[in-house]
Amino acid sequence: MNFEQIIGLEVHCELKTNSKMFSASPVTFGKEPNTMINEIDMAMPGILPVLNKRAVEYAIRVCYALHMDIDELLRFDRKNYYYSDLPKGFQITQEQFPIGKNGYLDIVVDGKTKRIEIERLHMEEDTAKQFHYDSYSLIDYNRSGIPLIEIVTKPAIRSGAEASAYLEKLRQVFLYTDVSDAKMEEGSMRCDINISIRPLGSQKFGTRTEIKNLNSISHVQQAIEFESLRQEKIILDGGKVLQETRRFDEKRKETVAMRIKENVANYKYYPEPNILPIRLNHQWVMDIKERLPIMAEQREKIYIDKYGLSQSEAHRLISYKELSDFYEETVKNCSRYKIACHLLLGEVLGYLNKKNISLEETKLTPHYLSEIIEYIDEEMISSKQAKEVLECVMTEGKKPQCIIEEKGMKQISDVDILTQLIDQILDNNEKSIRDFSSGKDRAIGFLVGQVMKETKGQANPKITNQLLLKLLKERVQ
Amino acid sequence: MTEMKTMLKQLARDTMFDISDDEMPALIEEYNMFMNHVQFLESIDTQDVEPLAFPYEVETTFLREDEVSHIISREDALKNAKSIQDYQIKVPKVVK
Amino acid sequence: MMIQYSIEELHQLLQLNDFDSKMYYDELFQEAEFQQKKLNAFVTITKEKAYKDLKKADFISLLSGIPYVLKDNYNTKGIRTTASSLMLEDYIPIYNAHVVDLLNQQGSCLIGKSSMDELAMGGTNQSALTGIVYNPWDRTRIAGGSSGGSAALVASGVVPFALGSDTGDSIRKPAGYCGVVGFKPTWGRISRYGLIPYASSLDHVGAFTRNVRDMAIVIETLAGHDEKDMTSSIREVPHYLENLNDNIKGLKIGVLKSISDEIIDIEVKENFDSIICKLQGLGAVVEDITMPSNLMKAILPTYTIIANAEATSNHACLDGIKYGNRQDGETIDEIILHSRTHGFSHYIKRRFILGNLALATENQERMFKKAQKVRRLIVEELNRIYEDYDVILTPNGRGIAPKVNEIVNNYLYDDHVILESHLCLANLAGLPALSLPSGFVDGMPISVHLMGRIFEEQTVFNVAYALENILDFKNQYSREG
Ligand SMILES: [Mg+2]
Ligand SMILES: [Zn+2]
Repeated sequence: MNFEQIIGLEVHCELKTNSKMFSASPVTFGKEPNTMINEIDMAMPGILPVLNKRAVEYAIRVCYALHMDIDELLRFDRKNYYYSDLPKGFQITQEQFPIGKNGYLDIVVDGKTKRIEIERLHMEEDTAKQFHYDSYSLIDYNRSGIPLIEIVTKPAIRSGAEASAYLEKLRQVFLYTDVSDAKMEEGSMRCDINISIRPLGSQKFGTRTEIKNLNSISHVQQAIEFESLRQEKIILDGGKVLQETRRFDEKRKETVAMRIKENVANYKYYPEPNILPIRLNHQWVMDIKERLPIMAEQREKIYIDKYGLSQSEAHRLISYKELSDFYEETVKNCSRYKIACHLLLGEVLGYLNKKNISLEETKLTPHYLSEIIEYIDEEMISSKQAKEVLECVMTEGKKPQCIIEEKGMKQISDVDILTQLIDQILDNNEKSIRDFSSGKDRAIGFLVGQVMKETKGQANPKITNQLLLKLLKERVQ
Repeated sequence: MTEMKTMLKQLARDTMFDISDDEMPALIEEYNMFMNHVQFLESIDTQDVEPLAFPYEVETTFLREDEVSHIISREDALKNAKSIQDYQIKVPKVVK
Repeated sequence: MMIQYSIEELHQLLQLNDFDSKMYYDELFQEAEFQQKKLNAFVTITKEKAYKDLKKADFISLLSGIPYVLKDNYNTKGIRTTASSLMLEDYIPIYNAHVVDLLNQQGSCLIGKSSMDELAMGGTNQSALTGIVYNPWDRTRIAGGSSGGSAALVASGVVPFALGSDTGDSIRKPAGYCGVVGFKPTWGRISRYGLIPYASSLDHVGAFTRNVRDMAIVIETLAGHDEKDMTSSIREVPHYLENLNDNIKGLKIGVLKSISDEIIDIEVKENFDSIICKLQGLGAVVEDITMPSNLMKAILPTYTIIANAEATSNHACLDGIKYGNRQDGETIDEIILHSRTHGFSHYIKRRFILGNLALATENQERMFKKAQKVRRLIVEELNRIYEDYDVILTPNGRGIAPKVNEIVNNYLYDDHVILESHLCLANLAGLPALSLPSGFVDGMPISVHLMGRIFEEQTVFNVAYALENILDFKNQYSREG
């Protein structure tokens, strides 16, 4: 029997606002525990929530990017459950009236485009963070109250590959709408999977399980693959899949049932009595659409059509939002589109990967990059030298011109100077001329090396080669 | 009777406390009164009536600007907690 | 020297050069300790802080240097705030409630935190951690609740004003029992930030004073938009005191017969009728009005379901982890379970259980949502009345304060006591409502109850002011009960 996977994804994304969803304490990551909070985040008795305007704006941006219907009357609900990371004993969320409904995201899998329908997007708040040790846990409230958006697809995903393509694309949406750093490994983007299987061709849904809190896209794919096989085995053995919550064991690459209290599903949602319905200003909502940053797909198209990048270059470039943003800035006053792309995807990316840092952490600016490109263009430096200059700029932040001068890198491209020099070298290397005339090509290599040695590598290699060949030929004739 | 006791004890558990046998008679009495209330409301026709979550129909337009304006000290944050370690609240290990 | 001045009287004295404010406070604290022995109304007396505040007071604004008391569910930074619950026995807030900040800005001097029903859930003050509060007029009787301590301290003359909170009748009922003015404004008129809640959609900040002018002063100070409370209104706050006017000629007052017909006590009835005559004498148009009887009977069920459900959720934060009375346990669940089992009295646990029942997903449509729908019907009915009437007049409950030994339990009332339970109409609809002393029965004070349209506090004040001016109960207090 062949089975079909029915998958729905729930993605939580932390918004990079300055302050929390309902309180005026800062949104941070990795700060000293319990230093970035106030009484609201700790749910001291008597506190009340006040909604963050920018969090709403960010949610709306993502709604637009996902082609959703936006509800301009915001309403919030309480989700009630007792848990040590939930200080109020309830989470403020939007159960009944999510801000966004009925959206979609197009993904490409195996060269085919598929539209993944999205049911809803709602706003809520993050929980406190717990650190687990051998015999105890510690609670840090810095994360408590950080704005979250949750995006829920319809059960429209049919494979791990689709899930992974969807998540990549969604992550890109978060990055290009500039609402989150969407780092799954740091938890600012988290994914829950709902998965069931059914015999191919069947219209009935099987019993689904939920796999909670995946923290990388590859884990999502692995979890789906494991879980669908597990369910398949149960069904083929004549068993029944239990509706349960599972987690993904990263070491064993397996999903494991979680210990869950019986009534935990009874969240007793009801309208949050401390937040009146909020009527958004229609013009403000429209303005957010107007000001929406250019999305990845549009950029990709511009890169190909206008800047002449290849499909794969353009695609790679937009997949690194940071590089793409940098590229946008660079090409504003530099029309060497291809070289800029190559340097970013080659030297720059290589350097970042090697050092495991972000572009922001280096001292490279778009202005410096275009300056370097100019030097390459005018053949003032070789591409090998360009690499050295780039590294230097990234670590030291000096102006490329200064680096080139300091290192004495300027290329010698003057034909007269080079001709004089080559003549001198030929005079002193008659053996090489003979070798050349008897057809030994490596004589050229040797002679170029001599030129480079004399010029400390500053001779323009292209011109040197051309000149050397010309002068050699003259001598052997 | 025991069935109701079991039900009420479970309900207490769901509310995260225990009810002793001493407390049970009063609870049953109040539960019955509460259910009378529920029954009475059932006699009122509320077809096509929307629930009212606030005292009156009201909307707001007020949203907070995204500015950090209030942080408390770590000492204040933990002042009322009974068990602290490394500036965090300490609890028994969370069973995953 | 006497200490039982009104706000305005004391304000004038404080501005005199030869008035010794320090001595006044010395006597005040003597009296406070004397009354504490009799009434058991304080949870905490904040003597040191009061003297400190007094030093800073410039006596310029009306409330500067004026002593007051807070119900123990207002967060006060650095001052223990228990909400009269074992759970919060040693909780010391790290922040002030918004209204506390406002009173600090005025230079008012907090002299103590007053006893209340545990977490404000009750009407007798019986469930308070520190025990029952006695009525200043007769110590064999209760002061009422849940703001019993505040009511008793204003009624005994210790302070000219005190804050209470009102979710069903928790200011107006004890005010009536103690013979003082009790008022809660429109829901949204005063920020609730920092008030330990009972049920958010019914909770109100309000006050006790011994006359209507003082009430106008206090409410004017507390009212207004607060950016920390999204439900607080941005409407401008009128100058209640300046606009206070006892000319109520032509004002339309509806006497809610559905309630007043329930009066059993003949003296209470006579008193109520005499108030109607007096209002007519003042030129008001007083007419009988009614509400459908099934809706009247629905008031209490609607209220109890909503109040208990919201309370259960509001108090889920009390788990002993971040603050509060933590008990040991092997697991986190056990800690929460043990802390809550230990920290709440049986009264509260019963309410929470019923609240949880009403919110449970499988019951919510039938219980909680049903109550919210009936709430709408009740509010709509009231609004129909307000199309024709400016104020609704009712008796402020059944009658005088019960004897301490008459209250055997703190159960939910049965559904027939409409007279006793109707005060929560003002909470269900968020209306400004005031209880005004109207007479005595058996030597104990009784009151009438005035409810106005939302945000029409001034109208309610004016009617109360006009009545007060022709009655003899302005500034009354009792020290010797
Ligand atoms: Mg979810
Ligand atoms: Zn969520």
